[in-house]
Amino acid sequence: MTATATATARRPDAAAAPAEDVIEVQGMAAGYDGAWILEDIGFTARRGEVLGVLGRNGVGKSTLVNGLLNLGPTVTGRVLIKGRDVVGWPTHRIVRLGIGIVPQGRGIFGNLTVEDNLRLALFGARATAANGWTLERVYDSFAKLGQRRHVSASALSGGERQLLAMSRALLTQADILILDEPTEGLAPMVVEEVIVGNIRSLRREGVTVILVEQNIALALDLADQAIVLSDGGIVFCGSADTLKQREDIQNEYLGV
Amino acid sequence: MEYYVIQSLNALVFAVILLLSGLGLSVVMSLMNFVNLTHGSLYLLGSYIAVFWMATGQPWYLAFPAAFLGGAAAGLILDRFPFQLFYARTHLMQVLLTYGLSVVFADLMRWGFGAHIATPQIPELLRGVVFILDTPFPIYRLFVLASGVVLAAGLWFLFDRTIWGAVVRACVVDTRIVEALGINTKHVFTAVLALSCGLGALSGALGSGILAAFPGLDEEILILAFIVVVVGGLGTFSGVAVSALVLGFTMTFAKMLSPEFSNLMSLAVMAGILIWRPDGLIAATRREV
Ligand SMILES: Nc1ncnc2c1ncn2[C@@H]1O[C@H](COP(=O)(O)OP(=O)(O)O)[C@@H](O)[C@H]1O
Ligand SMILES: [Mg+2]
Repeated sequence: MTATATATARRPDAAAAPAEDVIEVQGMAAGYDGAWILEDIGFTARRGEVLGVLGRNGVGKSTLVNGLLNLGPTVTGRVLIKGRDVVGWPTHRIVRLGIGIVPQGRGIFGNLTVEDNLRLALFGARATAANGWTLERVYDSFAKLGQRRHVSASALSGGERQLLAMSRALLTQADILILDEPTEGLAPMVVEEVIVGNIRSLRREGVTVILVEQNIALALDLADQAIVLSDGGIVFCGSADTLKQREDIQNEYLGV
Repeated sequence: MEYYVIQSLNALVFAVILLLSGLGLSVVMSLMNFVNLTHGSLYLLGSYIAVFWMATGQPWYLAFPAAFLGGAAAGLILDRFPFQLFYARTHLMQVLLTYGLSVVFADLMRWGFGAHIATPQIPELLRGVVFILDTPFPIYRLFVLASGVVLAAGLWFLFDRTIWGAVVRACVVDTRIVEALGINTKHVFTAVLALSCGLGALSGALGSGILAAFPGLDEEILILAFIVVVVGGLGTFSGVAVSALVLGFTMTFAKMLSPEFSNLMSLAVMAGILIWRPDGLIAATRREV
């Protein structure tokens, strides 16, 4: 039922310089109040790659990514982020290693302005690997946010909220970005513009992306590697190209 | 006419003291979901600090920062132990802990500062009266009124216009997401508790020249501060301000109309407001994530 083999297939263009494992999870279990949702989880994510995390609704994808940051679930096992075992660390210390998250639902503070939402991340940022994100760079990259910087964040559209949440996570000086269902509730045009384009450009800049998605086609398009969760464990771990071919897995575990 | 103007000024002065002590209580309750019944003790501690400071002959105006720092230091210690152990526990446990502590603090202060009514030696500069519409009014009260307005404006600026305020307002909504932005929310809690205790003591220092300092005042102030917070609506700056004004005016004018029933009358007004608006005058900002 569970497969702990790490993904080994490598992007052809990355073959020259073996990319470092920025996330390495071994024998991880995660759950709530003593009831384990996930057990014996193992996978790795390499620098600059997009890792898709797939599985049916309620299978534990959010539990997994929140668990990496100690953001709610109870976690045991080993979670190495840039070589540091972070199990039991308070969330803010893990984040300061340079790993940012856009939680499911985005976590935008509607009682703050757009700019204050962004400044919160700068306030906390102590990442060792500063990635050079500043307010100016965010406003340059996403003019919409710049125009609405003094507006209450509750006034933003769904796509703008997603942009804000992504920028905010990057402003923690993250070079690893977790996106938990970023396309949820967005119109297809907005998905193409806000999600697809930006994940591609982040990948070009060397940001590692953990992409939790219900939209399988989109995830397999963007991802280099993928893991599939089912029944509390990993049932597929390998390259996204392989998973594209494996219609059996897609049918059985993803309900395609 | 003059009489009403003077009484209104008195009401404003009283409202300022209620506002400052209520704000400290309110921010801790809305941010940390922590019921701190030692808030009245910190008020009284601040009053005693002011009384003793002004008796030493040191520059009088330093009594106020001294009271603030004394209260904030007490807050830092209390946060370390035992408050942190109770932040995540039920309100009943918090009430038991902090009520017990407030009784201990009351005894300590009675032992340390005596059971008599202690009044500060108000400095020359603030002693006399000014004539407002030909009626004398103590300068010290005007000083309290002005300081309170300046402090309240400063606090409003801090919470509404600075990044520290934004961090606190975000924590009120969801501390987990604030943590996920790399911010140590435990430190935020500690800082807010210290600020709250400092404000409690500072309002005590300002109030000492009007209400003096004596055993039992801690409880009276605690109850009034609680009424202000609950009636104003938890977690709203403007709510606390409006309700401090309402309570300040009803108490002052109720005393004027009928001294023996004044407490009953003002409590009835506050209860009436709560029946009319169960969430307080200004309902707290909705959780928005
Ligand atoms: N805070 C929580 N407390 C208890 N159980 C939870 C909590 N959050 C999620 N769960 C349970 O954990 C399981 C996995 O949820 P989740 O990780 O959100 O799934 P997914 O993100 O894959 O849809 C579900 O059965 C859900 O009911
Ligand atoms: Mg989820």
